[in-house]
Amino acid sequence: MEDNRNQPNLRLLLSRRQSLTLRQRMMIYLIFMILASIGLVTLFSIVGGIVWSDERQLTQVLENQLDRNYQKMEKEMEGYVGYSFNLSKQLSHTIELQMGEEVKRIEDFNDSPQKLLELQQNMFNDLNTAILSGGSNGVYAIIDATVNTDLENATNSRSGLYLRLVNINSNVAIVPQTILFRGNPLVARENGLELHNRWDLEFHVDLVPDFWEPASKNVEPFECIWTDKMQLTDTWEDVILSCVPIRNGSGEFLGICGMELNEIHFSSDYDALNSDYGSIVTVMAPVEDGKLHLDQGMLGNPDGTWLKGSEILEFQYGKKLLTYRSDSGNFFGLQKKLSIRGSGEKEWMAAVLVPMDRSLQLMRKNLIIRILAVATFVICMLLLALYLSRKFVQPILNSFDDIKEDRQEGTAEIRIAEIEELKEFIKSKNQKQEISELPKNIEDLLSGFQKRTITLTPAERSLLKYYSKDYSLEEIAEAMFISIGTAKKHNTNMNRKLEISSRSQLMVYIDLFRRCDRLEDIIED
Amino acid sequence: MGKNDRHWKKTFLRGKNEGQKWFSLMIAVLLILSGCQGRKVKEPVTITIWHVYGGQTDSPLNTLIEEFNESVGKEEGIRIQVSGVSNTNNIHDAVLRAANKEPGASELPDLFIAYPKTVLAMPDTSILVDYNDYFSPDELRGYVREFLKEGEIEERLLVFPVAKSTEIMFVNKTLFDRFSKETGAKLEDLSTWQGLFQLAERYFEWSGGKTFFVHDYWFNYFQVGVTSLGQNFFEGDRLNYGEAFQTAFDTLAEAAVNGAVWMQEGYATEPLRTGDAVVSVASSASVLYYEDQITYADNHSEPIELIAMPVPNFENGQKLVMQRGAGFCILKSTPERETAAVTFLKWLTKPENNLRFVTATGYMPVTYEAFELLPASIEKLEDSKYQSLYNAFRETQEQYHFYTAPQADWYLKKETSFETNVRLIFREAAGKYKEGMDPDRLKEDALKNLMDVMAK
Repeated sequence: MEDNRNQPNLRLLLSRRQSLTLRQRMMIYLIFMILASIGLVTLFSIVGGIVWSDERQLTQVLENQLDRNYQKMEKEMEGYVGYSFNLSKQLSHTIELQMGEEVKRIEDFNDSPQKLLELQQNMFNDLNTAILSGGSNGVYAIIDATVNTDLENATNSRSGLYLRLVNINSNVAIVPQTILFRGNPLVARENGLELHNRWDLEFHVDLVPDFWEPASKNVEPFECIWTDKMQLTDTWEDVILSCVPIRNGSGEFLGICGMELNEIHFSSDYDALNSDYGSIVTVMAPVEDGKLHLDQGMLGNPDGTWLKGSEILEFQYGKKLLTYRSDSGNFFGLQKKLSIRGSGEKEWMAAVLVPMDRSLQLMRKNLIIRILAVATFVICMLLLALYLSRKFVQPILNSFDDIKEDRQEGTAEIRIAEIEELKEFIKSKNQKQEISELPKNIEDLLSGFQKRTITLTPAERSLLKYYSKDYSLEEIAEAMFISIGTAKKHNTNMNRKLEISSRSQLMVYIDLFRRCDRLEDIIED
Repeated sequence: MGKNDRHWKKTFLRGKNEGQKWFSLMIAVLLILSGCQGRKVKEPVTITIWHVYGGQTDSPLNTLIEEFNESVGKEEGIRIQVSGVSNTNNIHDAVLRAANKEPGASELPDLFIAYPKTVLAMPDTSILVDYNDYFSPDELRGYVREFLKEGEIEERLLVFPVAKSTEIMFVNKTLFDRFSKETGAKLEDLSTWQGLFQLAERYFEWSGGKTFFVHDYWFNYFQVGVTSLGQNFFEGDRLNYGEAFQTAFDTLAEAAVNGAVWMQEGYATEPLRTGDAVVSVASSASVLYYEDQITYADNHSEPIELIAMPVPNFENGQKLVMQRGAGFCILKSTPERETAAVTFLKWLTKPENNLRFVTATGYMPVTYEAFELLPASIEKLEDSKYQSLYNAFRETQEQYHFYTAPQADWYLKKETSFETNVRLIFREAAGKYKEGMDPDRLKEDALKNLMDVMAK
């Protein structure tokens, strides 16, 4: 009764609400489950370093910085080498011009202060041109002769010129100020130069010990070789020097010359790159026994790190990056072999280094953020799937309850098309079942009547059929194209066979069969 | 709402609450983890510095900076990085170029040495830190008041003293003794300018044409000399060529025209190192650049004894000496960087550090406490050159008044012009004297030329 009362309201509700099919509901649920699965896979990939790997990003940043600075270094060093060879040629020419009747060999300059002064005066222009145009902080030329062979250490003392720039920083090219580090002070005074605070008259050839001897032995070809880093005597400046022999036309050794690369200049040229992973420092140094020798190489601006120019960095190759260990801390980095030649066949590397602590700190932070983000996503998807599964299953369960409790209109607010169909099907089936379950006496009555119709002739069946369509006997005779008498005869026989006595009794049976939806049991179409 | 529905919602909500609890817990754990692992690694704040202490030599300040970086710097995350060591004039130029943002100029470092004149010539002094913001009045009371006053510009303390120098006379005693032995010259003759230049002429004759004396800044000779004789050297931004100037000029001119005085460009240390001069007047800080030997043109070297004495004064003149010594300026940046720079300056001027610094570079300390400890520090000095210097310092402090150059933006230009021209004029005069020209005429011409060129 309650269901019947609710019937109009529910129908109104059904008409207002769009009902989702089970298939659609399953699709939505599946989509969330798939998203959750994708999230989980992503989560494992992040943890495993397969996606969003900071190491890969750091490698990319370092590679870019290394490529940029490597190109710059190669170009710069190539320039120095070019200027060194050119200077060697110029000086060779200058010295040969100076030679004549009195001075036939370079040794003839020994113990000749005036001739050496004149030679230095002539060489000054070559060196001054090189320092002003070569972009270097210093140029030098050592001649294989000394002003005084009687001195105790005369074999290590050699005449020459060493010009240096003061105010070494990035604007040297704009305001160059040259000073004389080695050479006759008269050359400085003639050319308006100051003497270096640690000036000396001659060179000690142990300044370039590894190059003096091989160069002087006419070993051909002699490439431009770079010294290891050295502190210029009694100064605070660290330099590396290019070394090229000076020879005359017949190949005779006259001396050695080259250019200076100053660490202060290198530092101002190769600034530290401030990245999210920390300050990226550029270095150029020789490698020996798996160690990067900063103590023999050049350190770029170490801003933001504790890296010092006196350190030796032990390195190991990793999957993508190298790890460097030193007294001032550990670093990630990359290195690439330079084409310059160092002493003792050492390989020189351009390298970029970033403090490991800061990088790892950022990597951990990023990893946690990513894990949190993806885990949140996965949890959201799972919660939504859970919510949807409950939200979708509940109407089904409610419908089942409705069916179990035989509520015709049901209590579920949300209706599912398939369930509604199922309910309709069950309902109609129930109705049929209700019909088939007539009282036994009526069922017997109907069954007996049905059995008796089997005995009817075709004409009598036709008569029954017309009666079921509410025809009169006259109309039946006309429809069957028989006489009324014949019709009456068939009617009499039919009544006898069906055990009825009147037409009204027959119509009661017909109505009963119709109501029970079993008319087809007695009348054939 | 059916019974089942209510039950489900109740279950779901309870489930949701539990889910939220778990989720919150997970986030909390991750945050704690990130907090633990994300402990900030102390990276250094790198402070760049331009200074003048040591020039091209192995600077004692650089050694102290390394010590700072390894101790206090490491603890507090400060790294001082020397990006330039030069002289004050070069740094003055570089600072002004950078401050004026001239094309190609370097960026100003965090810390740089400057005289007040450099700061006055800057287009905008508001880019500099006022030390009053970083030093308490109590802290500032520990510094010598006069030194702080020099760095005050427009009531802001912009130039901070870390060391002060004065002019000192250095004598190559080895050469002087050789000269003295044969001529009877005495060190006492060097106590007046008149005595010194007379001795210079005698040395010139005795040595066969070698110079005797070199002054680092002839501009200082004149301005201190004129002032010591009771007249003003400056009249506004012009020079006063009065009687006192004439006295100072005449005293110098005879020896200079004869060629007994070094008038080449460059610092006073140069001719002393090559044996081309015997006596010099220069900043006390130049002690770092003198070596214990001289090298001659034939490459043989000779060990020498170098002594320091107070600068000469004019007969009948006041004992007056130039006080020098620039200070540090800090470029305004972030509080973190400014604090780092100030931390370094406080460390450098702590009496024990300040004394190590100044006694290695030939300066005077800047705090009262360090002055009290100075005699004990001097006793510990092993180098006789430095011992002699600090004895001369003591004598100077006892007997002399200090002269401070005017703080004006035109000062450096005037100084540079005067210095270049006075040397050039006397070099030319000496050349003409060698050619036989009358020395009196040359002296007159020299003064006239100097006045003409300075008037331009």
